[in-house]
Amino acid sequence: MNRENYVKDVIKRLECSKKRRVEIGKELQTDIQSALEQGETWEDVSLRMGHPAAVASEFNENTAETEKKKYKTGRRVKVGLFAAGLLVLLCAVIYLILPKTFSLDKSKVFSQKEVTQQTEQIIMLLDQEKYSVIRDTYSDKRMQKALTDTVFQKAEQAVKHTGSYSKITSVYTVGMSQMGHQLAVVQMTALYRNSTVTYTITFNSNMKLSGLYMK
Amino acid sequence: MNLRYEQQMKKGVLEMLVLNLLSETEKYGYQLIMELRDKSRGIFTLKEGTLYPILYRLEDDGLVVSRWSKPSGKEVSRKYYKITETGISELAELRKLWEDFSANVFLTLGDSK
Repeated sequence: MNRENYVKDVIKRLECSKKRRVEIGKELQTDIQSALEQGETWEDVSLRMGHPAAVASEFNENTAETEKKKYKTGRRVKVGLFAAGLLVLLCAVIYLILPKTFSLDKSKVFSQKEVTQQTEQIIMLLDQEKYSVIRDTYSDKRMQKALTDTVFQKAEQAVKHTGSYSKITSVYTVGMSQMGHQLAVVQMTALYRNSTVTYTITFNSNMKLSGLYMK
Repeated sequence: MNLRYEQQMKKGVLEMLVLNLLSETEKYGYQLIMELRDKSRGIFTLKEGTLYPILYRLEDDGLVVSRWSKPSGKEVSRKYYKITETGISELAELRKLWEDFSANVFLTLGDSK
């Protein structure tokens, strides 16, 4: 280990303020230089001084309690600030990731009226078994792939068992934003002769179907 | 002998010895280590980890002041320590205390024989 690394190794182990650490580093450097000028070799000096851990330990043992206290307080403050920063960062990430809801009335992307009309239209088309119209007209590319004939057939079975369509009994709309994407969610309950079906339909910002759920 | 007892005994007089060396003229760390070793015939061979905290304590208490010398020629910049007026008074008191202390230690040791 050369003298620069030796001194660095000592000062990084010191339990005192940064100012004092720098001071000790400078003094050790000049002491080593003085020893070399007096004819000692670097090997002699490092052997006399001892291992950097032992030198630092001796410094720490003899350092005044007030200095140690200052160092510990400073370290606690640093750790506290780091933890607080990390917490703020974590909260910011969670805030960004978590979906946030908003009212469609105040939305600049969606029209409450259009969203409700399209939802009713899709429910009508489902009732009339015009699945290809839903798939081709109202769905985005991903939904077109997902809404296969089999999926529609299963949905058809669920709806058919409820009897013929009567009317819409309740509508609930909400906007959702997550990671820069905005969605409009409509929950519409339709009354059929034998029972009711609650549809949860989601539109993307292009007013294309991006979710269809019925219960 | 247990080395810890010896170190403990030495620690009690280090401030006084360092102040005494500095009462002659201003000195830098390595110089103090060497002079202390030579004058004490090796009894007080201090390491940097012991000397510097003593010097910092003496400085914090206003008993010594320090300055970095300007490098000239091949000589590097060094930190010199100089005793203050308060340091001189403190040294006088410590010497007196040491004289009383050692006399009484001898007395006690003699009495216990």
